[in-house]
Amino acid sequence: MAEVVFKDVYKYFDDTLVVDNFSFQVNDKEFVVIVGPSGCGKSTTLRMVAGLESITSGDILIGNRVVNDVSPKNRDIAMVFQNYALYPHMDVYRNMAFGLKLQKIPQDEIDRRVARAADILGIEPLLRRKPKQLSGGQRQRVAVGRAIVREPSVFLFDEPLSNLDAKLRVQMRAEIKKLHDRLRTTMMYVTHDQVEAMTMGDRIVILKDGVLQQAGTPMDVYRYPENMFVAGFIGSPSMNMIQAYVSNGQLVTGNTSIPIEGFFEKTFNLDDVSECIVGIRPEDFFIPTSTDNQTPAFDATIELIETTGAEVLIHCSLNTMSMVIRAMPDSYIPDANSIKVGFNPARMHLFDGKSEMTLRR
Amino acid sequence: MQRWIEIKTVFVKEMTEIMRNTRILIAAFAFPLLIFPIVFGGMSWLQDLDRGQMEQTGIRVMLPSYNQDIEDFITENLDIPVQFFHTEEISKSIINDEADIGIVMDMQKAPERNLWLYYTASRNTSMHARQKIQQLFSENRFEWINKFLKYDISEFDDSRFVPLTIDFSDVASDRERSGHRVAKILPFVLIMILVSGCSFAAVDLIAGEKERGCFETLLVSPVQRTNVIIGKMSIVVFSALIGLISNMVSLFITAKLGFFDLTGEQTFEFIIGIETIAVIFLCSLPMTVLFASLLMFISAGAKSYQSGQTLLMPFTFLAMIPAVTAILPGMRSDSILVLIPVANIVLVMRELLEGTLKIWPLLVGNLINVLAASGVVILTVRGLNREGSLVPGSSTDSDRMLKDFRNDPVKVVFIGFIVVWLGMFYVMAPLQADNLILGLLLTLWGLIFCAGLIMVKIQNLSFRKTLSLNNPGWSGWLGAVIFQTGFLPVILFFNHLLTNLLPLPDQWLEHFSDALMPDVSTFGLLMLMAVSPGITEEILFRGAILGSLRKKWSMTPVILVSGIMFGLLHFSVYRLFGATMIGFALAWMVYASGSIYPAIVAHILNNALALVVIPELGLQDVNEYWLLLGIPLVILGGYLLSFRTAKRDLKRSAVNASNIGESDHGGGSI
Repeated sequence: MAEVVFKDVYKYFDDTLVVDNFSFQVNDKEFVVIVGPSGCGKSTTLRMVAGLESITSGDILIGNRVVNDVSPKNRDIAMVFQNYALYPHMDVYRNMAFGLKLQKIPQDEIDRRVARAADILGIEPLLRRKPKQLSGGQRQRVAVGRAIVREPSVFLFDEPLSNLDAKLRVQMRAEIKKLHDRLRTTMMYVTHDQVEAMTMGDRIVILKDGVLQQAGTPMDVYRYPENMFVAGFIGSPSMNMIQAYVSNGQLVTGNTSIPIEGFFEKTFNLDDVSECIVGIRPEDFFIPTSTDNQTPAFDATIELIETTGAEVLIHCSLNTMSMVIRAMPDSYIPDANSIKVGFNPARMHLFDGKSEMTLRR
Repeated sequence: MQRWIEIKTVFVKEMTEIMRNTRILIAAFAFPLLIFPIVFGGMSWLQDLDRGQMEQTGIRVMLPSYNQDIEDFITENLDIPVQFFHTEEISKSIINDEADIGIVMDMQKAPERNLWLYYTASRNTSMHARQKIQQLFSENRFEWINKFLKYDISEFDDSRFVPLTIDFSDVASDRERSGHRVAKILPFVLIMILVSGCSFAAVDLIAGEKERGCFETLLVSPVQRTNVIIGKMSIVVFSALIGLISNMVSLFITAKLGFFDLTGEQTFEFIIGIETIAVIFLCSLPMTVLFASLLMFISAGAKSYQSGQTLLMPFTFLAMIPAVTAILPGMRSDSILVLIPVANIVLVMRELLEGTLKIWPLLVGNLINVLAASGVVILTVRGLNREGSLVPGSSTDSDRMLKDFRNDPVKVVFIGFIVVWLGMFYVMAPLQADNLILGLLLTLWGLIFCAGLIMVKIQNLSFRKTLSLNNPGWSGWLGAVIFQTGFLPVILFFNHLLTNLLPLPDQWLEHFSDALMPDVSTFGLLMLMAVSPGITEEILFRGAILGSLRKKWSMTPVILVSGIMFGLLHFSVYRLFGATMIGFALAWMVYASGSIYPAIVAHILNNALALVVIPELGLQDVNEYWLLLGIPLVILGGYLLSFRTAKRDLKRSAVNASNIGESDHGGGSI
């Protein structure tokens, strides 16, 4: 049992509030990813679990034990850092075994653990090499191996893939995920990359300015963002945000009016709302056929078309607002500059124009 | 042309980069500027102290037999106390420290006279006595010849006959002399080896480890943070000791192989024996621990190996100051030097090599060093246990550091003061020497006054509030005049007492009088030396410095620090006491009256009295009556100064009391 519980945790650096009333529970054997933009307090949160940063107020519990004043040594955690942090003068074996030697674990047990970790990560041939003789990916594997041999209750990963190139990153994130499936240990993983968060986490936690914005499974967060920040942060390209207002029972945006009754009254609460933001993901737009008059649609102007091979991204403008539409490569795209862009109101998101919170019922 | 433009662009870019780095600025600019004033200032201060002490205690002269002529001649012409002793064994008496100098008149070559001065170069007092006696006989040579040798100078042809020659004999033993030569450099080298041995290891294990990012890994390993620190400290100590041992072994082997023989009379091997090496090694242990922990603590302030080196460089030079001081000619272990780490151990090593080591400096010096090392170890372990000291925290970017600096009045004040001090020392003092009036005006208005305004501006503070530009009321104005009229005689009285301990050299008095009396009218003199300093120095010290510091500190430390800074800016150990005391009083006036104006008035009055009235009265007549006259005026002035603020406080507390009363009566809620 090694769940990690945050209870009303605050962290100040001098007068700057970095983590603001953070409460959350990472369940035993769960893989939780903390994601957010730079400076949102995600690494600080992880470092507070590790004991590298103190907690200004609140409690952190690991396995039902408050660890606020427990030294890192006694927290039963292992941490992997972005810069690998391998000891340059030690070979791979000694790097991995160093923590175990500090624990005075018998040599044969050390050998067994290092061999097992090397086997899991496929680094057996590298055990006698020095860090400078390894590639970035190999170094990161060694750093992960050093954490594995400790057999901790909780693994902490602080942006471990950020120094790797894109291809290696994709490969390594799959390996870490597989590692979790194999070890079945509680893992907390910090990243600024929402793709990593979506692909790796059992649940993801989104932070902004030290405040927890939303926590949930990747698909829940993607489908039901609780505010505009989460809606914009999760998903690539970002969700399109279009200003709208409510007038005479109609939701009016640009040159399009959609009757609230029949479309939104069950999904959204628009009772006291005058201004709102319509959020539509790029893949929820489509270009309607000329005979389709029932689907709500905008008149937009094409500004740029990007073809990635697997998809086509059409950049349009609607009045002064920009939009991105994701389409299949074989989709029909008219030659004209002005097009009609249709969308499914059932996949639409609505946010309060002032509070920026979702209006979903 | 294009190439030069590109080079210039890169140069400007790098220059801006460097200027943003405070550490480089300190290492490349501030430290080189400060080093000589500190080293030479410190050395001359120590020598002044020593000389002052010797002038008071006088010298002990040993003669082979009673000689009325010589004794009268010395007593009449020497301006310090002299004690005479008599023995045939002149050299022995000096070696045994029974006398400072021996004088023997050689009559064999009559009518020529040889004067032999016996001294020992290994004792400061003896060197000082030698200098005094030599000067005495040289300067009064003809008087001596005429009066005591009864020669008529006109009888002799100066080109062929020299009636008096002075010869010297150093009575130091061979061992002392050989050791003295070795001791000139060896202790200093050993200290430098310890410092460099510690600094390379400390910077790599702290700043380098930080740069490599391995600290976090180590800190989340199954090991206590304190043990990490102590483990690292041990290896820093070890590496320095390895350097020391290697150096000593090298020295020993070199001596053994007879590569050099320093005296020709006594082998070097004898001086650098195993026992000597063992004592030096044991004495070095606490010093090494002290250096190791201090350098680790300093290294923790750096983010990378390179910045760590920059940070440690000034420390290396700082460690040289006491080491250099201790190897100056004639320096001996005394009750002050034995309390100064580094200096004490260099002196112990030196005396050990010279064969004159006594047990008490060895024991006390090492005890002091062990205590100092223990204190620094504790502070270092506690400091490095603090959050953010070993792993980069959030407060590392330069913008934030700059913001922190602007928001930290203590830093602004101290750095501002150092800049002003340096400006005074390097620019304004030479300017004043060249043109006193222009130099003074530029110092006061261009440097001191502007520095005060810049200090306030840089912190974005209100000028009115920070500089206390408030009306003090009639009691404040009057109080300032009465207070200062009484305070000046009190300070002069205590200053007079102090001159018994630290006599004012005549040369200094002459120089000071010249500086106070430029060629201007009395009105001009008052404007230049009283009104200008009164306004400008008050704006800096009781305005900007006091106003900034009181944002962070309570009244007592603010008064103490601003007063000491005021004293230090007067650039003289002889004026330090008086200026500091006046600084305290003026700072208190600002607190008492709530305004800077009384301090300005008091400062102007102080300088005016010192310029116009005191020279008329004469400082030599200072006595207890000055104190009796001054104290009542100080009390009355102090009462008047605090009269208004006390009244206001009383009013406030009365209002508060009535508010509480009303709410009590009404039983209402707040």
